[in-house]
Formats: sequence, C-alpha cells, structure tokens
Amino acid sequence: MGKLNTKWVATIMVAGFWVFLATACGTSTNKSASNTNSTVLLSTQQNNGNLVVSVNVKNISDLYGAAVTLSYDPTVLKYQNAEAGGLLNANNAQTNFLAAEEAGANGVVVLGYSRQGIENGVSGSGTIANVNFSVLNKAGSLVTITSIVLKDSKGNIINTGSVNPSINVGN
Amino acid sequence: MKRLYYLIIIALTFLIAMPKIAIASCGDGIPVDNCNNWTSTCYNVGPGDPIIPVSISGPINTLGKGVCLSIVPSQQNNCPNIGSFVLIDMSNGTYDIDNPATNYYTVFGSLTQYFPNFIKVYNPALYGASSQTTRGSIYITSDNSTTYSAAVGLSCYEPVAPTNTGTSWSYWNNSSGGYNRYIDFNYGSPSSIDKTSFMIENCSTGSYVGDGYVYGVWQSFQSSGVGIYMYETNDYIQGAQTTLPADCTWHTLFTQKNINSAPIFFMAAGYNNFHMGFGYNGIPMIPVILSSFSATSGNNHITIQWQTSQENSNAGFNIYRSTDNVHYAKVNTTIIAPNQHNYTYTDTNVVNGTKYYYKLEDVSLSGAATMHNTIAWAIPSPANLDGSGVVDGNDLIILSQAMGSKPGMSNWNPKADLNGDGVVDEKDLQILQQYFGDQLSGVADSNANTSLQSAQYENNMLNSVSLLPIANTNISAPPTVAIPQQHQINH
Repeated sequence: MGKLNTKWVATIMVAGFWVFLATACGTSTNKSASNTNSTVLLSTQQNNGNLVVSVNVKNISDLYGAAVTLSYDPTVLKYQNAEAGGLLNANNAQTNFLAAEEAGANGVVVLGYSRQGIENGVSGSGTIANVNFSVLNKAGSLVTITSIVLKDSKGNIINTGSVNPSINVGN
Repeated sequence: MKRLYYLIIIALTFLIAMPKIAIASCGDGIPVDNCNNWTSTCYNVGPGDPIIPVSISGPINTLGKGVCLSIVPSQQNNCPNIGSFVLIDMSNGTYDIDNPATNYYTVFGSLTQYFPNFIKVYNPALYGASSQTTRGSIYITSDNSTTYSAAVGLSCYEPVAPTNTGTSWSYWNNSSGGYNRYIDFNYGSPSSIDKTSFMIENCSTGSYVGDGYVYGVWQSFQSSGVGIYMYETNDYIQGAQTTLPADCTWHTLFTQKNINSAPIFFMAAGYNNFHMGFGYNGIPMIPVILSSFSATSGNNHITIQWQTSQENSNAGFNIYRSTDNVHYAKVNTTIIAPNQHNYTYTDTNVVNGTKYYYKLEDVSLSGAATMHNTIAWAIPSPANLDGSGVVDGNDLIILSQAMGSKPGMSNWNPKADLNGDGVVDEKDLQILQQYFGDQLSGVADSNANTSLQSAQYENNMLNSVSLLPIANTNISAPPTVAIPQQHQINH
C-alpha cells in the first residue's frame, strides 16, 4: 500500500506539472499562435490557356481566415479573377471571399478569405485561393506573396513555419 | 529669400466722441524692418484729446508669427508734427501694465532720424497668452502740450533693437566655425532719451547650437568727463551702477551672460551716443527635423501622425489640408503644442470617400514658419477596419468574425457595423466589397525640401537674439553730439 501511494503521488505530481504547463501556455497573452509545422506555398497550373496560381497551406492548425497580397508583372500577366479554395469550407461552414486588384498599384492582387461568425478554425492542408491570369507573353517572371496574414479562430495571427513567397511562371 | 510682410491699418473708434482727432491719409510710415509694403495710418493727437484706441486684429492671425506695431514719423505735409506719444498697454484691460508715466515714446522730426518704437505683438495662437507679453491693443494720446502726428501701422515681426541710423545685425566667425552675432545700436542726437533699458532674451535658440551665452561690449562717444552709467537691471534705482568712460573705444561690458533660463536686463543712463554690442555664440541649425509624417484613414476621420528627430525652440505645429494638392488651408484652430517627437492629430471634418492631402508646418518660438515638403494623403472610409493603408483580407477577416453579431454579443465589433444599423450582416459585407483593394492612405512626396529649410535657416539667424527696449524715459535733453560712424566688433 505504501508503494502504491508513492506511485500515485509521483503520478499526480507529474500530471500536475503538465497541467501547470498547459495552463500557463493557455493563459499566455501573446496574440500570435505558433504553427511551426505549417507551410505556405504557391503552385501553378494551366487552364484553357490561362495561368492559375494557387495559394496553398500545409499542416495548418485552427485557420480561421487568410489575407494575402500577390504581386505579378503586369506586362506578362493580366489578372482575370480569383476563386476561393476549398480549405475553409470544411463542415459546410459559411465563408466570405473577396478579391480585387489593388487600386493605384499596378500588378497587385488583394485576397481575403475567412470563415464567419463564431466558428472554429480549420486544420490540415489545402488551397486558400486560385487566381486566374491570362498570359500576355511567355517571358519568365515571378508571382510573389508580398504579404500574408493567417488568423486563428481567436483572432490571433498564426506564425507559419515557412513561406515560399515566389513562383516562376515563365517558360 | 522673399519675406511676406503683412500690414494692418489700425481701427479708429470713438470718432464721434473725439472730434479734435483728425485722421490724415498720409500713410507713409517708414519701413522699420525692410517691410516693403509697410503701410500705416496717420494720427494727429492734440492737447486734451482723448486717447485713441488702437486695436490689432485680423492679419496677425494669418501672419503666422509676431508683428511689431511701430510708430514712426510721417513725412507728408498733412502730418507735419512729430512729437511724443503716450503708448498705454491695454492688453490686460488696464492702463498700467507697465508704468504709464514712463511709457513715452518719442519720435523725431526728420526723415533720417526716426525712432521706431516696437511694440511686440505676439500671435497668442502661436505663443500662448502666458509665454510672452501680448500687447493686442494700445492707446495713443498726446503729451498734452501740443498736437502731434505719426504714422502708426503694423509691420512684420523682427525682434531687433531700436534701430537708429546705420544699425543692423552683424556677424563674425567664431572659433568653432559658427557665428557670433551682435547688434550695434547708436543713440545719436538730438535725443531726449537719457535712460534706456534693454532686455536681452534668447528667443530662438532653435536656430543655433550654442552655449546660451551672450557677450557684451560697449563704446561711448560722450565728451570727456561726462559718464554713461550702465545698470545690470531695468531699474536704475536698484541696479548696481557701472560708470562707463567715454573714451571712444570698445570695452567689455560682460564676458558671459547666460540667457538660456531668463532674459537679462541692462540700462544705460546718463547721456546718449554710445554703441552696445551683444554677440551670441552659436552655430546655425534647423529647428525641427521631421523623421516621419503619415496619415491613416478611418470612418469619417483621418489620423495624422508624425515624428521628429530634433526639436529646438519649437513653438508647435500646424497642419494644412487640401483636396486637390494645390490649395491648402490650415486645419487646426490653435497651434499644436510641442510634446517632443511623437504626435497624433485626428481630423474629423472629413467626408468618407474624399481624398485629402496633408502638409505639416512647424513654427519656431521666434515666429518663423517652415512648411515641410512631405505630403501625406488619406481617404476616410468605413471599411478600413484595421487602420492599414489598404482595404484587404485582414479587414474581411475582422468583419467576418463579427458577422451576425449585434451589440452585447461576444463577437460584436462596432467597427464592423459599417452601415451603423446595429447588426453586422451582408449589407456590411457589401460595403466592404465596394472598397476592397482600395488604397486609403499614402505619401505623395517624401523628398525633403532643402531649399526651403535653407531659406528658413537664414530667416532664423536674424531672430536668434533679440534686444528689446522696454522703457524709455523722457527726462532731459542732453546736448547734441554728432553721430559717430558705425563700428565693427572684431573678435
């Protein structure tokens, strides 16, 4: 019985330590959430002569919304439109998606994609947005993520592990 | 550098009650400080005439700096009589701010021998009521012995000594490559002034990197055996007296006087005809260096922010606004007081969707205004939820989080209620969509205007140290002595 009690005491102490750690982390006032395994990257594909640039994330946790700004060479590409990726639609949640060329800036597309209301975020991998460009000429150029803000369901900014900001869309 | 000079004609009221007062149209005052467009009104004041109230208004506020009210003789035939006037400071509603018995300001009767009596009139909006003596109104009258005339007008503010013939600021190089400056003033004859006090104030340290010390010298030309007394005070009764020999050579009045903390006073009494020189040791500099200037938009307001990396003798800032980047008007009604380096000003008199341009002006304690060349613009918009310069995805996230909410709910965000109907819904989303991708703020021109600053620097040099006559008493007329030639102080 004495040995059993000692074992239980030790177990409770270890468990208490982990509970303490979890509690301490949970009460952190830091307004950013670390998601070091996540990655943001661009991919491209052809679609009826147009170029589709996709903004993708991998291994993200509790993603509620994304704000992305892309830049491109307007002498090579012409922005057509953009569509929401399927990542945030999990569980048929309501989402909002907006895309527009930035006024007064040549070759900049602003994207916004978010779940709405009081909702949990989405975890996993998927596409945030697909941006359609017509190709003006086949010269090599870059499409670049000039800014990206990912937020979790608490409104905190998610610090992603890595961002591959550019992709070559030329020959 | 061209300098703008604003002039004001003094209002004459109580005219019906003062029939003996004739207002001639001579209007020919002498430009006492190179104010080319100096204009004035001629006043004739005779024995027994009531005092003439002279009020100052209007242009002072638009001048952007102080002005001087000057009384100088008229040269026109219809204003032939030049004599004494009594100036009574009415700024505090009394006749006796100073001692009215000593407030005689004498003007001389010829073109070349005039005595411009400066009444410093500060713009209260720039300096505040307590920082300087504001003489917003004065009264003039005769000395009850004869009828006098003089031209009274306003000229631009130039805080210099009572300039007599040939008097001007001069400079000499100091050992550190900067400048000393001195003003050399000469009381020639004829003069009934034999007791004059001067205040030396450090009114524009911002234009100099200096040690705050002035250096004084004097030179007397009175005939042998007759002394000039110098008092280190503005009260000759209480002040310690120093007898100054009249040997026509320059002497050291004092080697160092710190004028950083408070003005110092000197009074010369006895006889006229002497030079005094006060040098200020310093290196000219630009009072304010702007390190950033930007505007951010919000719903029916624009916030202007700026930072400075240097401020010296800064009286404050003014913000100017335009909708076409051509015609600018001042936004703030009172000067924005300096608080050292970080500033925020919110302009609420704006309309959503309109593009506004902003420029910043700093004003030195000496009244010199410098318009900075950086132009920040912003378009007030309800959709700029995060205050960034672009309506983007982050604004969408903020609105989406509040979607469906009403006041009292946990996700309610009044900013997201763009149409203000008490619920965040599709209508607000549609408004956001209208603005999505819009740039709402930016900088139109961030190039420093070095030429403007350079010109300002020159202007500030002239205002660095001021010598102000604070009282002249008409005691007795000393014998006439020829005015000596100007002397240069050599160091």
